Amino acid sequence: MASTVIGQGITIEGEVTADEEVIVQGIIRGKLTTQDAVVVEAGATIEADVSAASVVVGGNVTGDVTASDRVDLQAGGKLVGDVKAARLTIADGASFKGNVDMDV
Amino acid sequence: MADSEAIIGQGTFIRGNVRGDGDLNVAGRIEGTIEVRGEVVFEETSIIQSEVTADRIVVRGALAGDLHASDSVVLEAGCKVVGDLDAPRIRIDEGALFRGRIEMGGGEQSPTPARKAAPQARTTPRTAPATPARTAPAPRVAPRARAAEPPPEVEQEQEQEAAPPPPPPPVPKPRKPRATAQAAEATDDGPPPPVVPALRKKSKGAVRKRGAR
Repeated sequence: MASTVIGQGITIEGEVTADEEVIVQGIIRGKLTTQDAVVVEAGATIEADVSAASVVVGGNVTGDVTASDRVDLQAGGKLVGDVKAARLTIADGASFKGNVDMDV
Repeated sequence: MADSEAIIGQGTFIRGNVRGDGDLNVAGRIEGTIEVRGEVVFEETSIIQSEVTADRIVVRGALAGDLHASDSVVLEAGCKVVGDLDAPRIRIDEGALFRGRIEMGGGEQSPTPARKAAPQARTTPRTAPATPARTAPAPRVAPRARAAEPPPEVEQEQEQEAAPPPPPPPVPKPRKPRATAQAAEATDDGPPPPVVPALRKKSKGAVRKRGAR
């Protein structure tokens, strides 16, 4: 069970730092850092650099994404920014613009 | 309201502004401003440094900043709040720590809705009875101790000082020991000055010790 949920009607402008899973349904502008997973659900908007163990993008993300483990861009998800991760999946129906660095 | 729309977990730290519609449940840390249409609950583990604006605010953790609520502010037992409160209805439970100003909006609010709304709060019935149990005995003990201790001390000192000269004749013979103390203080001009300060010092000291403990 996720311990941090940014609900649908909520907007955060600033810096979010967590050591647990963060589920975003609302809007975050600024910076998002967690030691665990970040789940950007459909309808959510993130205009921030994201750093996490894993990132699942089902909504809109604008900013650089850094994951120590993996980044999953789901169908319907939109990602604009550079991705740095060990593994990256992009599902059919997702849109992505940016550079990818997979530590080759 | 069972499921809050937004949950800030215990390990989460937000520096910046949080705003929007919907309820907010905070167990983590927030520095910045919080502006929410809905209920904001700061759990026991929360550490908040921000100005909070919401419909309803419930504090169980530590919070520094002003609280503005269009409906109510509730400071529950165990919370620590430093800041000003501004709400038509405010409840502070026993065991809550608060420092600041309170503004309750004057005569706009009729008293009846406050009474009706009070029972709605879920947690208060539990916390309220628990804390009075602790605090209630303390006042009883303290007065007894004060009443019992000082009088004997006074008597001893007066007897000692009064001993060299013959026992003070002008003082009417006391019916009760307490009466002697008071009478002697009042009548004797010479000896009393040292006696009285000594009494005060001791009594103050005793109070301080109790307070310190």
